[in-house]
Amino acid sequence: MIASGRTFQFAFLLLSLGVLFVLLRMGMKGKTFSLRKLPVFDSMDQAVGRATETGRPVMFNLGTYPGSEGTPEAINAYAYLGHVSRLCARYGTRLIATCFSVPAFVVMQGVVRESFAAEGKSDKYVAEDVMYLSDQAGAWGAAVWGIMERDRIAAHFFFDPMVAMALGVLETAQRVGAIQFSGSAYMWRLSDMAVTSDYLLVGEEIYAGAAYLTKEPSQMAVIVGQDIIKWISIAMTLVGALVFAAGSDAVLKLIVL
Amino acid sequence: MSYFQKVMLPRIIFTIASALVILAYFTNIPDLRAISSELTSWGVVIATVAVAIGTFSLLRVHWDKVSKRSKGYSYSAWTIFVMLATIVIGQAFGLNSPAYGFIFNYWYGPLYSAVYCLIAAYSLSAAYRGFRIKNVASVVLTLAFLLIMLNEAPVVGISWPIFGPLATWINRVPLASGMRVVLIGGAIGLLALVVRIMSGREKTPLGIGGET
Repeated sequence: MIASGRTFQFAFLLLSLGVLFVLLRMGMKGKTFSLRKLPVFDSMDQAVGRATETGRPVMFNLGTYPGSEGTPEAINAYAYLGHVSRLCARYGTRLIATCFSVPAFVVMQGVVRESFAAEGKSDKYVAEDVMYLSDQAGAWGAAVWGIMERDRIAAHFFFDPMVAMALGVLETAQRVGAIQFSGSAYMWRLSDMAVTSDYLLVGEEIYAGAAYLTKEPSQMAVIVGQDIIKWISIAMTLVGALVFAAGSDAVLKLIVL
Repeated sequence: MSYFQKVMLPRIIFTIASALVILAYFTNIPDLRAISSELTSWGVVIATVAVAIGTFSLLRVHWDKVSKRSKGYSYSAWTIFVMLATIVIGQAFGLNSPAYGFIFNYWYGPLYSAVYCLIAAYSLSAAYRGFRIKNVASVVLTLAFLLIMLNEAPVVGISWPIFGPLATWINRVPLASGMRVVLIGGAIGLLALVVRIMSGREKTPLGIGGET
């Protein structure tokens, strides 16, 4: 019944899901876990605060390609957009959000509108500031550069920057003096983000961060679950390397079971 | 829209669809694989509908600007004109017609190339910022970069063959290890995200505002 060569993968998936659901359940029952403070998230607050003081807008860009708006990367980006929107609504700061995928645009509109409503600032929500600019990377990039230059944005949030124009967007934000946050779980564009961003979320941080921002015990518990699975993976890697170095291929055979 | 329609129904659909696709990957049940394939192809249908929504959205935003005579409304008028002209010419003369090709080859193509050219300048300024030597880590980064770049230059590869194995080692060992750490971490994070969505903790994919 299980496809050949996927038994171990399936067992590991079930184990991981089991760990996560148990931790989630513990969190939902009220068990609290202390996590180390992540300065990047306090800095998001400060960046929006700085934008408010200087009277300049905050910009949020989603670099997801059309057709990829349901990827985990994009889903996390919506969570960050929700956080940034609420901060902007609270401080009365203009938020410009753009993307170049229509389904993502629809979700982003919903997230920003609901976030403003949650802060009791529905009247401050400007539909025109959530923009679908184009589904072509070149046109989208050129439009974003223009907005950044004209409006002199003070803070820039850029998630899932898969688009070819990502480097241009990041560099333009640097040039206009914006505090820059970016993140991706893939290696693609990571180097571009590393050299241009003030704060960078890499790999699992981007997933953990979205949960961390909620401050909900159940979501914090899931982050702890993530760490447990990570430790299991590290232990398996070390055991595998040692056993293989000792001349046995038992672990290798187990993995391809 | 009721809570069930807005939150519960998408959650149920997400959970069932995810479970079916995951089970189809791990098992060899033909019916399950057929369902998984069907579900995946629905993405294409959604993308097609998305194009129509995008067209109307673009029209609405720019029409609003033109009708209100907002700042820069002339650009919006031009956008609407170009969009409608492209649709009309494409429909009237066909996608392979010279008229339609003219739009792509002599308007869109040069504009796209011009925008792309700027990336070269941005790459240079980013490289300048990235390779400024400020601490030990940046020294290591710069040395690795120099080694890889020198190895790519044919004259260096022939004159000093030692660069070849060194560059290969950097690519295969430290770089590959680093990449795998990010990928494995990302995969674990993805599982956690699936659990958060299935349990209803994460609602932003449904267009519901974030929590702070």
